Amino acid sequence: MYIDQNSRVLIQGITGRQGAYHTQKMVESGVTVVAGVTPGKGGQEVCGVPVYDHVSDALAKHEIDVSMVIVPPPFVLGAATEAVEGGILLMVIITEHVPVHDVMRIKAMTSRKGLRFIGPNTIGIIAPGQSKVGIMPTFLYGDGGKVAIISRSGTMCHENASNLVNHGVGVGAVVGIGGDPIIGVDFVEALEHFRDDDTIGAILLIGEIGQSREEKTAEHLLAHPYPKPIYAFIAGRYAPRGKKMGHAGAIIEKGAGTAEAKITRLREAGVTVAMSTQEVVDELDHWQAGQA
Amino acid sequence: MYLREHQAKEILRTAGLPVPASQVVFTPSEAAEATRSIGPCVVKAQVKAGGRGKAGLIASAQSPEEAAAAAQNILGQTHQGETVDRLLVEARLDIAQELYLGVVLDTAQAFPMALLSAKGGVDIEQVAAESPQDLHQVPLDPLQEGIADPDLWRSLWQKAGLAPELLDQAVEVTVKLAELFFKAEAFTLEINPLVVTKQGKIVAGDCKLIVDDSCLFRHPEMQGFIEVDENSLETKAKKIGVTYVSLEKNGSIGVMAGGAGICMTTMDEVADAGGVPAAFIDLGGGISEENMAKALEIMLATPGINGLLLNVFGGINNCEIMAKGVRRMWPRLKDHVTLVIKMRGHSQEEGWAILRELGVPLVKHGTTTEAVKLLMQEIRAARR
Repeated sequence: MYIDQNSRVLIQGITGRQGAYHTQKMVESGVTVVAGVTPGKGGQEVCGVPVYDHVSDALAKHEIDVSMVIVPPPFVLGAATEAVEGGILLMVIITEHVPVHDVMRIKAMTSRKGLRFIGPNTIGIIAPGQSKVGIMPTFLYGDGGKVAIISRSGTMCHENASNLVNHGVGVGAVVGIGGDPIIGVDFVEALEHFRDDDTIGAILLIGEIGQSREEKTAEHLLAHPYPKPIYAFIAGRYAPRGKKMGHAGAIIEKGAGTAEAKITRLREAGVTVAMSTQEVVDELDHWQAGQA
Repeated sequence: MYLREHQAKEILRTAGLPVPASQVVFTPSEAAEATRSIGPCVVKAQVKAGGRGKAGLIASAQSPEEAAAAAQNILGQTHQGETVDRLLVEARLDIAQELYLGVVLDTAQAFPMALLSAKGGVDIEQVAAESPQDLHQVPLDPLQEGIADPDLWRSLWQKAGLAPELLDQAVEVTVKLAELFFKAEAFTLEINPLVVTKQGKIVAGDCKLIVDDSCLFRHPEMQGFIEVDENSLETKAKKIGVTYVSLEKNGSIGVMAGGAGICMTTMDEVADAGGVPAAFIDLGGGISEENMAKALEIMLATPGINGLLLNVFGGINNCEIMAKGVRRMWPRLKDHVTLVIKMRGHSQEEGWAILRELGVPLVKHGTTTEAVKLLMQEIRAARR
């Protein structure tokens, strides 16, 4: 998993209302938050975490493995640029409504320096029982297990993780890849991340209409057979064509990106696609029973 | 945001790109008046969709009388759900050749792709499918390196077979367009046709510009293009920071959830269970008690609604606050709809206690599927 109990976390935007609230939640659940950044607020403290003006100041005093960016949309590009210049290996961009051209630039900057980012417009990532870099209510996710969830939608992580935990199926990792047109880590990259991870036994992909991430994932799986069972759920089967569904990326245009196409392609690639939230639980329950 | 042609062309003109003389008009007499100063012209419907030519929404006019007649004919027509309420009266070009020039954001690869062709004036997807050798593409650097390099564009236009005497003009137009794509933060910026006139001038015949909604805060030049229908439920929802999406006109079930993914999932499951979703409201994050009540009120204003599923998590939101919002609207809710609530997360115990007092059917640990099933049962029971 991208994070574990040893991960040292930086919060960019730590003094904001959302930033301070989620810093407190992360600290309470035992995450090692080593520093925060808000330009002009250097020298303050939030939940006992020291605040710096710039990422470079924080890096001069602390070892940082991952940065959570939770600044307002106009400031995401600047914050990300600082993290990239500081060489922080992983960035999790929580902020919603980030200008898409800014995300495009962040993608170019990170890939040129061999760095990684997750998001934007994500609830973040969690390794239940170990660590989280995100804004999810920890107690809905249980305290560990063998299922990894990779999702374009944040609340669908809440829904499926809590359904599984309530049915006694443990969740070991959740990666919210985000619902925007351009994102960092995608389904394929996250799947490859878990390929050789022995702690993960099965994968649940939560997709939705619009764009072609699920189709590309199916293509990838056909070319690179996966060693663990993969389950999937696609939201938006009923969505009218051409109607924006809230997520900037979730819109069926010119007939491309329909749920039907995604479900068909994933099934061709050997993925078990569930048609309801109940079926997701039933399928993974069945998988777990077969493991014993 | 999909800009109308005249708005897109205003952006082109400001960026120094060549566009014909034109005027926006709203009535046949205004069209006639505009033609008096412009001369022989084309009268074009200003709708936010393509395919206007085939739909008969573009007409040629030699005289003010012809322009008025064309305007009379086109105004009020409906195109892809939109009623034509304005026209562009534009100087007619003497067309010698039609080119294509566009930049689109390839979101899967995260870079812009520039496309050009000496065979413009038709649907570019048709060119791509039928004669891909006529479509020339080059990816642009997201950090804008090299996009103004004239040699890049010169060689591409040469490959496309453009006449040598037109290359200088074409290169200048292409550099400006590529720079404008970044400046305007576009998803799509397309000139089709890019007209070569009989006088040897290159001019934008049409322009399609789609910009990113989330960047509008830093584009004062586009503020005037944002159109809002003050009375729509979508606008009322937006004002309190939630998103209203209407679904079926004959729908009877409303869905309220936090997040687009769970809204869509709930909508799908309602449809699977035989219900017809009328609308959903994505509550987003950080909703207050007051706005929760307002969001419920907006949902109740949906015509034909008789069932409502509230499918929420206390993540960024708080269960107690959301339940209090429900309690505020309870007198109206209980008279108008059958309500089922699935709720868990932060402050769930406090939220559940409030809802139990109201007597709302509640799903605490079950799946969305179970919540939808309960709603359908309750609706059937209410009918009896």
